[in-house]
Amino acid sequence: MGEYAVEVHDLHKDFGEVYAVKGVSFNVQRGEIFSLLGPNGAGKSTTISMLACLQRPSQGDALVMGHSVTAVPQQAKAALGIVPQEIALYDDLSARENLDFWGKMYGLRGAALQKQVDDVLELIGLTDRQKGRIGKFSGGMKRRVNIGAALLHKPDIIIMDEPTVGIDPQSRRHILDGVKALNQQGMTVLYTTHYMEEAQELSDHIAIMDQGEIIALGTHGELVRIVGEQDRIDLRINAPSELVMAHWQEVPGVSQVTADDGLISLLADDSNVVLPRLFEVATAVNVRITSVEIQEPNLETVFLHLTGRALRD
Amino acid sequence: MKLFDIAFKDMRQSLRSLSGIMFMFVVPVLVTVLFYFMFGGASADDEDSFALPRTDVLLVNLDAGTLPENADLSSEFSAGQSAALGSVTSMGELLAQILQQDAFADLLAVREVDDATAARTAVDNQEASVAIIIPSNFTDALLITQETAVIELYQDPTLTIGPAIVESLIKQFADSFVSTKIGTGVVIEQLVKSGAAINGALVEEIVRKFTAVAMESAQTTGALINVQPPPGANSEAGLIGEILGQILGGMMTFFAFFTGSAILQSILIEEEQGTLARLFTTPTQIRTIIGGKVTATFLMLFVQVTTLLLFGRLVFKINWGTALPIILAVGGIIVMSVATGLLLVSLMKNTRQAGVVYGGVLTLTGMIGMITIFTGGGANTSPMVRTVSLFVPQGWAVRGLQTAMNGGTAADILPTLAGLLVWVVIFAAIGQYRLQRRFA
Amino acid sequence: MRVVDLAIKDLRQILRERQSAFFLLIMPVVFTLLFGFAFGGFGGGDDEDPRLPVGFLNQDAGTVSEDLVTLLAQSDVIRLVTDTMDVADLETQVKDGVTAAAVIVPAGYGQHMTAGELVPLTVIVDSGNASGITAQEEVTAAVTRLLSALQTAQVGMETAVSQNVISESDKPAYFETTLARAITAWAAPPIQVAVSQSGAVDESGTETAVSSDNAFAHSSPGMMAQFAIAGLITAAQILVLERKSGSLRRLLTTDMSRGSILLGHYLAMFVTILAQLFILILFGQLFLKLPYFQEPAATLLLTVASALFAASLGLLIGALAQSEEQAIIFSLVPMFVLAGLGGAWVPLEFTPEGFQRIAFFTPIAWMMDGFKDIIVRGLGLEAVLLATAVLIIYAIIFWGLAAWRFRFE
Repeated sequence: MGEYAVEVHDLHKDFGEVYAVKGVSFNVQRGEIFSLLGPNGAGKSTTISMLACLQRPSQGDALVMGHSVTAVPQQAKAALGIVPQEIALYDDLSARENLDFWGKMYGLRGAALQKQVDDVLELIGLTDRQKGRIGKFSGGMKRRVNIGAALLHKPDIIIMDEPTVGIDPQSRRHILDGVKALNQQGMTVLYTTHYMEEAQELSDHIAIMDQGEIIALGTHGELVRIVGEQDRIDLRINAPSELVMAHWQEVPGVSQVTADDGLISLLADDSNVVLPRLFEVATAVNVRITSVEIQEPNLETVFLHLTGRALRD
Repeated sequence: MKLFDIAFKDMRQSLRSLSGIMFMFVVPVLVTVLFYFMFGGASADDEDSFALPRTDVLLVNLDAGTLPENADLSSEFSAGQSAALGSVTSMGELLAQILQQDAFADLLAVREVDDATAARTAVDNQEASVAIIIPSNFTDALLITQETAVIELYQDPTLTIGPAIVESLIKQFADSFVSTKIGTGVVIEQLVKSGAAINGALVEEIVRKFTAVAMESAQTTGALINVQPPPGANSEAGLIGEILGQILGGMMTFFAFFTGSAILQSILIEEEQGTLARLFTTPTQIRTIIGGKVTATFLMLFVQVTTLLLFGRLVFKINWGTALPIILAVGGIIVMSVATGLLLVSLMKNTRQAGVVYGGVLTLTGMIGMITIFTGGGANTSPMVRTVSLFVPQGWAVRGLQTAMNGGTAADILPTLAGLLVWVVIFAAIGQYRLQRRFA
Repeated sequence: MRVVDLAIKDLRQILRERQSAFFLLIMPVVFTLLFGFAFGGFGGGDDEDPRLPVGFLNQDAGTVSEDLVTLLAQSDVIRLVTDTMDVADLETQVKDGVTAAAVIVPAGYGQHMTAGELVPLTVIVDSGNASGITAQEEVTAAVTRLLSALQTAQVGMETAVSQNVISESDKPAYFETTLARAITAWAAPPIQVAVSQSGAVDESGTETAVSSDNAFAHSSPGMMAQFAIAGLITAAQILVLERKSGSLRRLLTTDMSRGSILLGHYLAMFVTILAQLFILILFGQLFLKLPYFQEPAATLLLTVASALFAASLGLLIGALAQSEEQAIIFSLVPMFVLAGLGGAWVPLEFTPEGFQRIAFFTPIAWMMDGFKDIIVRGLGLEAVLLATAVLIIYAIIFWGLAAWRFRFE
């Protein structure tokens, strides 16, 4: 068995004419948190589905703890704990009954199972509510059980598919802290998200996906260095953005001008030099700049740099 | 065993669902209890009797004749009956008294009215079920040689059984009234043919002889026929027990098929909830998942059927037949329900189609299968109806159960079971194949 | 008018569901036919003898058993089936319900009976079966007549001897003749029973209504009543769906009042059931020859009242059901209970008084009674007024409950 928890080689998935994943390769080291970052529809969930043995790759293969997902899916599955994006639990069973059942599905039995259920209930903070039916739980509580059900068999790797979509900030915080705690206990985490901050906060390595491909891969520091020392400047003006965008593109030191919903973003080598020029140009065409924000380089900047599009909801 | 873990999880879920409990236990029992009251189970003094509804009878006695003073009526009745009667002046009055005896109080509620037209109007207005109109020459018809009389029964057209009982009673009495007259008439006629001289004394002697013979035979009534139940007939429970047995058996079969589909349908529910996909992320195979659900269905059906059989046995004293035949028959019902469930679920796209499956397909085929029960399963069931019921799997299931309940042996059930197994194999094979292919 | 627009929207949804036609029309027609045939439909059978089949095996020889056959053949309740020669087969036929009973005349029957010794006939019958009991009664009646005829022959013979009109050697022949004469006499006894039915004859003396022997006279209104409830499944599901999908909340954001919304849904259900009942009545009139159109005003009034009641029950089901599954349960359970209790399956006359009294607490019983007044009793408008009033009262009660329990959120 190699040093990697997950090795992905040239994974393809096509649905007839449509390619969802076009040759994805990456390795996840043992004990790290690895994030797949990308906008909706980038192919993250399809990649995860293939790792979870829910879909067969059209081409390529992946090894989970050395087990091929195409050749020996049962072994691969046993090493994985999957947290589905949607809540997949039985509403009419209690939290404990749900965990008990899912533990059994991973092959746990008897005292070992009961101890694991107790531990997981403790971990997700629902020991007091274990007899309550899932159907009567709040959204955040359901999410916690949803994650807990994937932890029972102490998998080597836990895969979480956008676990924070559509939940309140407090529950989100709880989940992110939980992921870190799990990782500190030695669990490898493969995490997908379209929130740049989450990937930034959690990950040892990040793969940025877009349109079925990985367009960048590395540590946070490595990725940010792709864009060099460029700053990102976000501006708002009191007129349609088209009036200034072409002019600003001409300004020396400016690259990648994009507009989205009235917010104009551009990358600049040195904002101290560029900013006064931007104001001059705006004045020349009778446009007023109403707000300016300068951001240090981050993953958002990287995505913008690589795709020319913003990584937003 | 993961298979059993899935099975127990499904059972737990179905026992927690309102509709599961409703269709598995409450409705079959409710309908049986309904029929119990429908057939007068609660009002009958002894449980074995089939309590018929009491018929409202209006009696119009227009009889104008009078009996001779020395008339001896004893020949017409058994000693007990005549003793209960007071003195009467006409046969019409006698018939009226007989019909109002306590012995018939459970069957008839008789009111005497004077006017035939009023009585008919009362029947027209649904104030009574039947009017019995005794004609004015009723006594004369019994005394005078050529005279004949017609008793009119005027009935509500929507009724069948009550009027039929009244008709049967009246005919019985008419027969017993006229037997002496017919006998005397025939004897005298034959004597005349043979050239004998007829006089009053001779006639009186003939009548006396008839009376003597009638008295004699009155002592021995009951020996006219020797009633034998067909071998293995269900005589212990009596009629109401048998009807209830049929109904509960039918309901049990009907709803066993609901249970079969309902539990197997959980595979579609799980697909829609996302738990099925999650199950596939665990090291569990589709075979195990379907197997677990089939096992759950078997176990729940076992619980359902056993509960209903015991309920029928303990509460309504229904005789389900001997052990081996009933086990075979019930086994047939269970296997058939599971196979039908598999087929139906494999044909369903999503749970929204449950309405069509429950309310439509299963109700329709179930009622067709139970048609022999609705018609009482007796000789008045036409062969066509029996054949129609065998076009649906429930018909075969019901047939096996009826064979067991009618005292059939294991060997009697085997042909039905064989027919049933053909359905099972086909349904299960198609269902299993389609589900495997869909989720693999 | 927006109430009508809402109703039209509902109707469109109802008609779009393929299951609607199934519940509304196909099932009731199939069941009317099925129940009709099962209980011997088509006016008691045109080509088939409606009398109960009774197996008959004569192990005796001679005139007495033949006389018994003559007497049994006079019955208009049973008919003899004489093609089986084996006792075990006779038993099987009774057990399987092929015959209502079986009669076996034992060897030496005639000889013993003639000698004045009573020998019982063997009657194989399942006393747990109504048709069996009927057949048994009829056999008993025939044997009683046979006994009377035998006694007549005996008395005749004795008298003839005592009157010296015959010699000792003539006795058997005289006995035979007298017996034969007595059997013939029983074919036309001096007192007979004639049955006539109320309401079936109008002023001109022609029959206007069908006899209750026509099994469709019960199954047609019965299944109409039952499936008026089952037909509500789709409509009730639409209401549930409307609540679940949020369209109901959206409707509330318009200035349409809650009452109008309920009324709109009610109108759709009413029109659906009314159309269903009309088609089923047309089917009954044209194919089953049930005289629904004999009294068009009465039929119309009763049908409208029935639809008013059924639709209000549908509104209540839609108000109470939280899921589509519940809509099915809430429709099927009252269908079973009300139809069973109200006499849609088993005519109420077969049930005890107490049950009948309870039955008339259900609207189904009133609906059945009203339709039977028209097609069986041949009565008119006046006769169905009470049933109509009761159905409308039920409609109001269910409406009230629905309005009270309806959750708009």
